[in-house]
Amino acid sequence: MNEALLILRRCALRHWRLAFKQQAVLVLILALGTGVYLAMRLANRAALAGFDRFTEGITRQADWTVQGKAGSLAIDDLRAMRQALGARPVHLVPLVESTVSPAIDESTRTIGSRPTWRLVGMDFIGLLNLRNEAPAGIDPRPATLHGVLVTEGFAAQEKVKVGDRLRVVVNERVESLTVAGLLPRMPDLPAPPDHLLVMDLPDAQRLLGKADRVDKVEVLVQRGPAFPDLRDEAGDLLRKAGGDRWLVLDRENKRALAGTMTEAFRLNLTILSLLALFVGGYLIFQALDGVVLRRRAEIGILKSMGLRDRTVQQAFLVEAALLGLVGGVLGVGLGWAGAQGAVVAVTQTMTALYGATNASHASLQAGEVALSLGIAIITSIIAAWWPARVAAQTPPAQMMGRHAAPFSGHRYQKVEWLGLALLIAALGLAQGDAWRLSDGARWPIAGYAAALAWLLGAGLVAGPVLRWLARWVPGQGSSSAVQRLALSHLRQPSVRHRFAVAALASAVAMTAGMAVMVASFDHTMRSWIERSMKADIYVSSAGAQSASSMHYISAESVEALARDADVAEHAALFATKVAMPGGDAWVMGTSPAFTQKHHLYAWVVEPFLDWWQAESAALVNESFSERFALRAGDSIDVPTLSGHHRVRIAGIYADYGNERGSITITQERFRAWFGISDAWRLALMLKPGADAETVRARMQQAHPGLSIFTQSHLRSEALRIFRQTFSVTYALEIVGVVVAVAGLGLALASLLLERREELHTLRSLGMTSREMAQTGALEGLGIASVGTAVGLLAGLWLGWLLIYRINKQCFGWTLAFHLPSGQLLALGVAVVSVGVLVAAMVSRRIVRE
Amino acid sequence: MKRLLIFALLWIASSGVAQDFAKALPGRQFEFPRDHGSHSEFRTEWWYVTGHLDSAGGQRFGFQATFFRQAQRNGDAVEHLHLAHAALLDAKTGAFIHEEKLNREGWDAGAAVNGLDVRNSQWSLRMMPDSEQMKLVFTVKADALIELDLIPTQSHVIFGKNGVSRKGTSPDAASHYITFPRLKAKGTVKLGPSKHEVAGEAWMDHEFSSSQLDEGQVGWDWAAIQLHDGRSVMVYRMRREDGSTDAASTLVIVGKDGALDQRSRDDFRWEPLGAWMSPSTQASYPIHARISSRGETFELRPLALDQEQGGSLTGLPYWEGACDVLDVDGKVIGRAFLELAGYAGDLRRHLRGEPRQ
Repeated sequence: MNEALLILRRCALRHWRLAFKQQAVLVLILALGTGVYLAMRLANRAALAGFDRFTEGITRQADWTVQGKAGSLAIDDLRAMRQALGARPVHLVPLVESTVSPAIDESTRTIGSRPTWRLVGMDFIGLLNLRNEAPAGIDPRPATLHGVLVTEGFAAQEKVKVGDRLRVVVNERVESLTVAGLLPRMPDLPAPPDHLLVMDLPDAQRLLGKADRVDKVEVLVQRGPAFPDLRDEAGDLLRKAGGDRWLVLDRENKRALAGTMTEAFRLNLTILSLLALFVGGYLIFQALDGVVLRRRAEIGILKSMGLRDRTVQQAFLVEAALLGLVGGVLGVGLGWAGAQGAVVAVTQTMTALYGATNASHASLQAGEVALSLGIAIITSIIAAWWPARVAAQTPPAQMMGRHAAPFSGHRYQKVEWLGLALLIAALGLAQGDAWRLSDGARWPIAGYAAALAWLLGAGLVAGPVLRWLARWVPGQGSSSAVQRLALSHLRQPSVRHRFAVAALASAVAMTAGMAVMVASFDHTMRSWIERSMKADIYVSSAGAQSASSMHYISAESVEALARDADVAEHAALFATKVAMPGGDAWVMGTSPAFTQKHHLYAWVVEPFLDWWQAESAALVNESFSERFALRAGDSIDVPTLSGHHRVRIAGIYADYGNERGSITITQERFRAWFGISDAWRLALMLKPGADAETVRARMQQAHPGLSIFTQSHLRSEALRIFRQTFSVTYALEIVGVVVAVAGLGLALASLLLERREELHTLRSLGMTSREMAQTGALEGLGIASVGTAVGLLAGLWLGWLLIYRINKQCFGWTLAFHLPSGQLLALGVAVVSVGVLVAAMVSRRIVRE
Repeated sequence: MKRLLIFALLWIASSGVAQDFAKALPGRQFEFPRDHGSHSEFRTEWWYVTGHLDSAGGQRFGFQATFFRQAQRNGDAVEHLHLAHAALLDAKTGAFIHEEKLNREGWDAGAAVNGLDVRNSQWSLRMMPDSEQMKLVFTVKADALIELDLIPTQSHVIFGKNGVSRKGTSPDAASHYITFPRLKAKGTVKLGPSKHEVAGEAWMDHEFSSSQLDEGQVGWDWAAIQLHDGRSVMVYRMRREDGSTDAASTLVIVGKDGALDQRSRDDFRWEPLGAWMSPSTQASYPIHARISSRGETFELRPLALDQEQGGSLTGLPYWEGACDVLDVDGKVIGRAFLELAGYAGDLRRHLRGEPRQ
């Protein structure tokens, strides 16, 4: 190993200095791969963290959380919990929570653009019992009891101080809250999130219209020698007492629920960041291969002097690890910086879709730094393995002779078959079902494996395709030496050719697959929006900044709006969350006559006529059917305030606005089962001739606490939100293509370096530098064209896989396959053009040297 | 008179106005078991159990479990807060553990009005519907669980003249004061991993009023003494700013037959014999005292020095502890609980309803 370090110091580092630019490119590639992965991971975590952190910072992490199956919990439920626990020393901390937004400004009508604050009501007096586990500074004096506590960050951000008033929208009312104080920090607890507002429980209940009800109960067991197993015991007792009424969740369950909510979104990010790394791996290999190539003479000399093969290999691996480390460190910096930008996009999307959070920065944890560095170093070592082995095993004479490594037909043959085998395996894996976890979550493991196998397979198959096409392409007997020479190289592609074409094919396949999925998504969404959003005006509470928040419109306001002279027809939608085994779902109360008349549903399984007249019939959306593995005709026990009600699935409809799953019943049943008479959404059909914008403006003025949208505005907003979801994917697609084209340039550079002797001979035979550069460019054209063509074809199937298998299994949405032919054509032309350009530039430079 | 700790809650209440609440007036017709329950028309009420327990293995424990109710007006509504204290002394090791709880009246705290049924989180004190037998269950953090049956061996007594126990010279400074001076206690004490079958004797006070303290009072010393000869003694000394004993201070001897022998300030003497300084609050408590009256002497000797309750919730530390009672010859003639309040911090600040610091 000492010898290896000596070589590293004397040779490698010298090369690093001499070929600084090349090393910098290599380090940058490593940094880019690591950075993209880390940025995605950080942004993802920062946005997700918001789901779970509302009460962290107020109390220590709860041992259990109790949530009502039919939405909220009654005071009697709290008594029953205490009774079930008997004399055991357990703190029960009831909470109400909601999202609130600052009172609206008429000009701010972009969904998701206003800040969303999380309002939590906690019993300030009861909190005093959590000495050392809650801040002593939550002072239950009258001034504090009737106001709202904010974090220091919030006060600075919103420029408010104690005594100021905050105007927020709750349901349809604009409420004024007095800032009673700053939320104190506990030294051992994480800082509360900045967007957290805390109120005393009774006041919060009054404000949110949740008298005598709470949303959940945090359970904190006391720890001591008289009750050694109290945590588990309390969990069991509460579960047993809960029966139909509540669920007992631990931290993992809660995270899983939050995870389920954002699965679709996270899926895209995960796939993309991993695929970017995968393509990055090709590049690193090529770059290190180039390094070996450039130092052949040096290696030959060292080996002639008696250096062992093992030492040479070690030296290269150590160098690779060092490169990985430098690239990794840079990647961590890049990733962190990228995450700060990405988190804004990710958070905005999550807020719009799930009402989650306003996490404003992505923090870096030591574990993530280690993981990223580890990924960079390991990828680098793996990629360096083969070049290091070649350097170690090639005889010194051959090294000094500057000839390429002998072409191994046998191995080539095997790799060719491996590619086909991987493609066939991918086809087989695509038929596999999702791995269904006990809590109902699904993990399309077979789908992911199929995607990886397909990408690898496509890359490996691209080499033989290049050889095959080069044989059949016209011009073999052309009088142009340039053309014949280029084709001769392509007819017998070296390992470097194969890797260049494989990297390009994989990157293009990844990009094309994503493009197909995004286009199909967009296309499906557009038709769904056109179908389901037919009313002229849509009304919701202005407090509801997201699809998941629960702010309501009072029955009086519904009636007032429906009575408007320009309104011809109205339909209210009622909604509440229920806890099903395996996670939360929605129950909707609708007006079936209205939905049927206007054909609002896109049916996956159409119900029988007048389904709502049948006793206990219900509709479910596709996500629900997929998530809970239920089909038409199956029964569901719906938890309600009056116990479970059994309904039978009469039909299944497509619904791209909700991946949690929803059950739809008639509004009459909904009101009877849940006792909620306030509407969640209201749709208004206007009389002919009425101008929607005029009516909207009038209604908005009369109801400042409501968000009122015209159809066209809501449609455009819905599309904007869905496109925003995929905005990050476009950036990653570009990264993929850039990396692949850069790989092509590196591969050509290596090939030409390897052929220096040949280039000298050609020059002696009278070939000009220009012609030699043209040969390289033509070779690049061949590689780029084949890589792109194979990539595009592979991308089509990858798109199919993403749409019909991974997406469907993950969140139950059936998308209609849509081929974005223009986009794919543009992608192909762009990649080939840039590929040829890069090849020409590289060739010219090498030939001139 | 003793249990004035509830006044620590005054800093939660907006002001000390008591006129909207009922006053303790002479001639009240008590009805039991109803009067063992809560009297929400009064501002302040407590149920206070102290006692001594012995295990079969020879271990001795002192315990205290107290349930307070304090009403406050919030506009037209009256809200009740429930404070509770619990403590356990292991006399052999001197280990003293204690805990406080504070909750709003509601699902996790309350007191029934038709009989004794008070609860605060997992702590509870309940009287059986068909007898005066009580069940007391409480924990001290997660270190101890105490479950006791309390069976009166002597009927309850009502202290004071004509049903009113005076606490000061002002007409309003008075309470209704009901006590079970002799309760046979039986049950279990789980301390750490060890569970002990225990038996012993307890004392239970139930007092309700709307205004008790007078101007100029700075603290009080109180003791509940259970003599081996079957008699019991309740004594309190109200201390004034100038160091004198308030005229309302009282000593009452409860005879074996339940007869009350009430003696005024000038008829007894409370003499400190030694003090202990708390390392945590720096307060000096006269924990060793001699009480003498009409030729009888009761020397109160604490089982452990540190029986101070920190007052982490109320901000009002006090000392309340198990003692042996000795006669002039040094012979143990009974057991007692001694309470010393107003030695740590400015009690008057709390009594005036000012916030703690």
